[in-house]
Amino acid sequence: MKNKLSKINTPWVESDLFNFLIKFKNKKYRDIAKKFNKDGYIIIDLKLSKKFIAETTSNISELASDQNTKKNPKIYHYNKNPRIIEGFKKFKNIKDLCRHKKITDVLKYLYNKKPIPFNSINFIKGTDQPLHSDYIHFSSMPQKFLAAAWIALERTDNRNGPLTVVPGSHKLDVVDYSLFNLDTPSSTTELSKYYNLYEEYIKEVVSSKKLKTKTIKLKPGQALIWSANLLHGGKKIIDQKRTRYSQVVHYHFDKCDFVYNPGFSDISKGKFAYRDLKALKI
Amino acid sequence: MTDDNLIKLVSKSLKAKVNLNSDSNNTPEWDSIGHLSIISALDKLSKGKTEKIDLSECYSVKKLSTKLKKIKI
Repeated sequence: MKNKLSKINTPWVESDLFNFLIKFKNKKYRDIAKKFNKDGYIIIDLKLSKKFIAETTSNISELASDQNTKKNPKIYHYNKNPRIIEGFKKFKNIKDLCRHKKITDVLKYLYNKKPIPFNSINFIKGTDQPLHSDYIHFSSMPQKFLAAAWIALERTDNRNGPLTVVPGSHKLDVVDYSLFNLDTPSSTTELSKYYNLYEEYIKEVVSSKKLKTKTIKLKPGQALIWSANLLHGGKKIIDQKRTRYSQVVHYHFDKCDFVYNPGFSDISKGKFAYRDLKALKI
Repeated sequence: MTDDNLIKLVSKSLKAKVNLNSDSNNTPEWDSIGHLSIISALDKLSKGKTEKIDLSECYSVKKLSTKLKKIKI
């Protein structure tokens, strides 16, 4: 991108200068960028082979049956279905998905920075997770250099707890716990209470602004990519027998000043719970 | 801070029973969020003194105790 304004300290694809800056971008992903700017998400096809998908689902099953497998903290589980983390440390397929070239190419185009995958979560079934923005969990300085890719390893439809998004919600204000006049939590119980309050807040924002939720139905091998602040969640599972093998990967971007956990930060006081991106890089 | 008080603080932060031999490997509740809860609780108790030391790798009660003694907390 050859323009001096392209060096603004915010993702260009989300900036107020989007319509100006897109003129300086190559045409390859322009339509994708326009959709991402407007709605906060896009869907791309990774063209994964059936063999790769079958192997990966088998890997996830193996992880789920191993008692030593790491999972998300309990407070982020909404049902008995495990949220498996760090699967990339054991299985190459999971790591390959984190680094999938099509995803990283698109993200590099959208953010003008190299994307750095830093965590993965694998799912066997739906999460029942209420609407939230990933930015309440992972933040960056400069702000909003965060994106996620959710990769379907089997069909998702209304019955197996598909993902839902709120198109355009990425443009809402960024929220952290200081909005509720809360001090940094000093126990997981406290954090859990804060997070419940956050979820109630989001629910009320969506309701009072009359924002529409969209169900995302994907085919195996398709990836939903969303921006830092987009509201998303897991739709209620109707058929409890149905699986929903999938993987989500979160990305920060290189050349940021730092990344941090907003849950334990107090930005107004300049206090940050830093994350070491170099150590987390997949 | 005595080891007993540290154990109480860790226990409260994690909402789990811990002892002097507890660490992140033998305490399921001691995950990344749990660890940040402990650091945050220590920060509050010490009124910011713990910012001077790096507790990010102290994933056991004994390691925490050793570090805290160095700054006389």
